[in-house]
Amino acid sequence: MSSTEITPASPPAFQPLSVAAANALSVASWLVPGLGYLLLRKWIRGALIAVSIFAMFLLGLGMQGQLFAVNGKNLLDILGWIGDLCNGLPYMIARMAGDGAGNLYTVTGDYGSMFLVASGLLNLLAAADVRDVALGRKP
Amino acid sequence: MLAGLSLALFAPLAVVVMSQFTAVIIFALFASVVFAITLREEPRAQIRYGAFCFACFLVGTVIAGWILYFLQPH
Repeated sequence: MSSTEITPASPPAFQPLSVAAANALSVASWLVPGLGYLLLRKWIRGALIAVSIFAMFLLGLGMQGQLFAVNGKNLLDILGWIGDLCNGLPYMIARMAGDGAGNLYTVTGDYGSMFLVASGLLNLLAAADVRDVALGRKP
Repeated sequence: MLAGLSLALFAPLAVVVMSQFTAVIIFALFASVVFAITLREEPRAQIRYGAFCFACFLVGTVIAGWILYFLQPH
């Protein structure tokens, strides 16, 4: 008598992507915070990252923070610009609209600038993590 | 078009006024979430690490605040 074993269905194993695809996902995650995780079907991670980054960015603008522009004269401005640029499309859209002029006369304006830079750097961290997940280095 | 989109997105955002401590709490919350997701792998470890980062942000801020208080000229 032949017996057939019934094994419980297991979720399909994640197939690591190619380096090019992982890089593309990383760029997508930089442009739109959280998008890389969502494309990898990591829904909860993507939602948490998107909410965190967007909320910090919007709060930074609401607190009258300054979005740095390209300025080769001051090292701190350059670093701030790099941090802001890491926000991806939200930074570009806000700059094109003239948002983020900053208000030096309020305490929260300084905090807002830090929120904007920090959200960009956190977004960069998330984009790097998306690459690791896509390459299978991290679950 | 992008300018219009930005206006639609950001114009309703009123000027946010909050205390410094509230700003620290919000910053710590979001930064801890991102740190936990990106620097730990298992969900349980992520929650534990996120809570640890959040506590470190807050305790570090309070300690730094007291140090600055005693350093300032009276």
